[in-house]
Amino acid sequence: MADEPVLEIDDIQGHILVGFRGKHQRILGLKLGSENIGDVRKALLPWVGRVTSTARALDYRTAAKVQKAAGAAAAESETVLVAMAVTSSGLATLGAVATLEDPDFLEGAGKSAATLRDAIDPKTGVPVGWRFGDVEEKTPDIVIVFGGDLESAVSAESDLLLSDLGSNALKVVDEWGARIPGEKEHFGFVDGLSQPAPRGLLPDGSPFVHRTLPGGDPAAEAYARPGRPLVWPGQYVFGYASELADSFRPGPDSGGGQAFLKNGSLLVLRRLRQDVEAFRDGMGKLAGDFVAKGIQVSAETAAAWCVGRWPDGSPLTLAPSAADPAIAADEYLANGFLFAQATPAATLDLPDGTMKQFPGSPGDQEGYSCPYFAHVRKVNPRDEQVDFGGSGITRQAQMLRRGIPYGPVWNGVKDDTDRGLLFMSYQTSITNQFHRLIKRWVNDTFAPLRTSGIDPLIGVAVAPGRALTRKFADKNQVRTLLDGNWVRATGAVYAFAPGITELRKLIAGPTS
Amino acid sequence: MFQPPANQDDLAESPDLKNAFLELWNRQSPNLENEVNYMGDFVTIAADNPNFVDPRKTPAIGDSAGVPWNGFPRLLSRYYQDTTSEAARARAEEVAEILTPVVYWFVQRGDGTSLRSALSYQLPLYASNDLDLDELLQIARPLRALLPGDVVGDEILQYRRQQDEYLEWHVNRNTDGTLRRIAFTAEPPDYWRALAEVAPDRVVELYREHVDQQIQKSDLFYPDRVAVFGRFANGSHGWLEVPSFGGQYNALNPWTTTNGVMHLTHGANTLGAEVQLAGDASVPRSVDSLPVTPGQDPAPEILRIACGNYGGINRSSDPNIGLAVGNQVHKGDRITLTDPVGLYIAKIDLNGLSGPNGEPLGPVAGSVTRGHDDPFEPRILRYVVELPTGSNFTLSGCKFDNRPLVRGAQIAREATVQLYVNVYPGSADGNAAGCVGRPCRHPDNGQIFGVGDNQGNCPSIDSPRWLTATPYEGANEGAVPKMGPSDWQEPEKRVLSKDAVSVPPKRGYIWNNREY
Repeated sequence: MADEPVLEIDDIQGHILVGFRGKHQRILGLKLGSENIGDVRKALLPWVGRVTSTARALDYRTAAKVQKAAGAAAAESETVLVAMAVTSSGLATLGAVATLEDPDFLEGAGKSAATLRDAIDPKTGVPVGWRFGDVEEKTPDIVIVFGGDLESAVSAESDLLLSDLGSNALKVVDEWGARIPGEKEHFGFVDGLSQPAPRGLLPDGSPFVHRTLPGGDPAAEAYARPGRPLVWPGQYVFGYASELADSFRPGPDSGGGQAFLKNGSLLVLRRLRQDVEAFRDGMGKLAGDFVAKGIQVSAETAAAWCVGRWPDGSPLTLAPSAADPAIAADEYLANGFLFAQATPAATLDLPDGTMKQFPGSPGDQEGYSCPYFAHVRKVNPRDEQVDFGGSGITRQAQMLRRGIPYGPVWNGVKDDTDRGLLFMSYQTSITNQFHRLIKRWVNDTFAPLRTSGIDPLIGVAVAPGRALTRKFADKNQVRTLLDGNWVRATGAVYAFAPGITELRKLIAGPTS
Repeated sequence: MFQPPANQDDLAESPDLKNAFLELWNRQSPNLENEVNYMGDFVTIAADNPNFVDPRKTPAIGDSAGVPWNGFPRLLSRYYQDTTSEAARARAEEVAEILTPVVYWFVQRGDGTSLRSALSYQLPLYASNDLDLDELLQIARPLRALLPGDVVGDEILQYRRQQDEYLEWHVNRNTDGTLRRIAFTAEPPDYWRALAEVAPDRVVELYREHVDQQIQKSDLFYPDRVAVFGRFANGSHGWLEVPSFGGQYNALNPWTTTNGVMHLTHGANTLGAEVQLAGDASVPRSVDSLPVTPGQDPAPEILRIACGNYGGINRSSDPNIGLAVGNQVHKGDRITLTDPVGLYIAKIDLNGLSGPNGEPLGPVAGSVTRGHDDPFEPRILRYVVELPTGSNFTLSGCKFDNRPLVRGAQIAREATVQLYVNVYPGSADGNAAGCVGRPCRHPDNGQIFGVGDNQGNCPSIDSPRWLTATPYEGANEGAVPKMGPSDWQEPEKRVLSKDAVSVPPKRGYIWNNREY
């Protein structure tokens, strides 16, 4: 830990490293009038001061925890946190001299629809059914995320920005997200339980992510807590050491030393519409396929197999037959596992100063408990060997996820309501992180490991269906095809969230 | 009987030849010296390794399991650290398509003559007290044809690719340099040598069908007589005939190297190597029982491949295969490679291919031309990327994953290759062998591994052993030994030495400095 860098938490945006935990978010995407860019700059510059830094987001999070621990009724704060990011067209409009070399960022999210297997026009490749980001006219120059507990506060703040810009900006993205009770997503599963732990220090020298494993434990070098790997922060923020694939030593600066990139990150925003009824039907059909092959399983279990966790969040690896609320309720247990190997017991040193006995957890190398095709295993193979190499590849590929659901919760009645996930992730390489996970792992039958099958939750089924292979301890493996898609993109933007200093320079423009 | 890769039925029209092929493919003749036995080798390896089963003796039950790896040469990703910048990424792709010259030499000693070949830039690996590097650089050179009158004729230039994940590709260009076609193959040369042995004309037919219609038989086979340069027992240098090469199939002919691709050419990309790897990996090792610390460094697959000293430690393929086999054996199971034994393209994802106006070309540009696709067990041997006839743009006008398409290597990144394994539950011999070596990191580039001894001694930074982890970046005056000296004699004076002793008959070819 001695050589971990100090993170410039006053400059790195808080949405990247901490996230916005509030109940509501509004995402605005604006095209800026280039003819009157001076007016745009004048209107936007004060808002740079409103962008929440990591330091501020940490303070806010601490305050919220203190309040909760003190047993105070969850007083809803009026605080609104803000993030701001710029697309490649936005960089041009704002007259940025420097830019990024990431081709996926430069081309814009619409140009990546085909490669991610979104529905596209077969002649032009333009994505079909997108509310934004499909064509240039509907691609914003800047994206602003507002997050807070109170919808009215978020609304007021974001409306103020819109009115400040007035006719100097055209709104092309206006999305509202709201947390579902229990931190669930619309299919009914707890989401966001697993995030990598960025290495790095706070200005006072303490680690940014608390280390629970005692110093003498060999796993302490690589894990912040059981099941949560430490990753060099350059994977998420430019200007810091990156993760090497085969070593725990720090790699080169992910920003290549470029001042413009320092403390910034790349934001992937994808509006994913979820068809809950189709998912339920699909899981019923999948269960039926297994039953026909002699495996007695319910639709609920089939769904858990597809996700890798039960709806309450307890992981299949630790709870193979039924949900385990005790595990689900314990954040150290719920994510405290690996796949290839068992995780040893340990005495954990918690952030509040208390000690906790972690009982250890079994592995699941054969995929008997958690099938290889389960979503959590497809996108996070943890300590397993993968098609590119070892677990270091997985550490390189992970992203910080900041998504929030949108739309009303499904009430069991067939409807045509648009609901889903405003997926957001931060990474410093779209190619090697977000795209690698989706293209090479989610949408590939044969990766990351063995014949797993295309991800049955978010992967795109290709005819004749996702080729899923389920292994069992006490009987032969079962192969089955699962057709049907229940997640589809309805809008996407790739943007660059600069460090606040660089953001200010960018918005202010060249000094006269 | 073992079948050829993907059950490919190239001799369907000629049942007699097909029988002859299968007989050759399955022949086991351990008493014939230096014979290459194709799948007969499988039997030998199974006999030597209790956890590696001959599926003809003990039929496999249940489905096969695939062991996948990415098709882009991982060594190049490591060497150029290609996730760090677009320039590094492009450089790795550029080097992936540079072919390396191959050279041969012989050394005659009292007890016999050895014939060796090597990648020219790796010659320092082969120097010894007996044959120092200076002399080796003088004598190592391409083979030459031998003309009537024992006159030494033209060079037989040969190259190998640096694509070592059992996937190789070739880019065909139009006369104006634009990309016309990219062909990917996972076919091992073993199959083609055996096919050429029984049905040489069929080999020519297939090359014409898949590579170029104008191919002549003489392009694909060695001349009737072939000579190699080297050192005689008396210390003099000269040419020596290699009778076993004359007229044989040339597995490094130009139409599968410089001018096209029909099968794999990298020294390690053979069926024999694959079988040997699986056999070696099935030996339980002491490291398999070590408790794995979460986050241990180096990772288990690196530790194991060094311990067992099998395969290439810097690849995607070999560490993956080795660990998968090792884990299965450690669990108590025996394994075999599923018949038909082969290396297969599981998938090449072309969804990122788009035309100048964004036209999605993924669905129309790729085709399986040998082998077959399948949802669960694809066994694609050959995959061709080409635009439909009548396209008013070329592949050079296309983008792949948001980057201009300039190399086949870009597409290789989206390729998954795999082999298939069957498991025999619960019958493994668990006696673990100790380690032969341990992983070492290159002092300058910690992403490159080598294998040191079991005491932790690693090759020094200037050890020629690091050459096997060093890419060939093309001819470079200072760094690469020249192919042969510049003081050639005039052709008519280069005569086969009269007192030469012919190298004893050998079948097959040289791999990894081992004579077959």
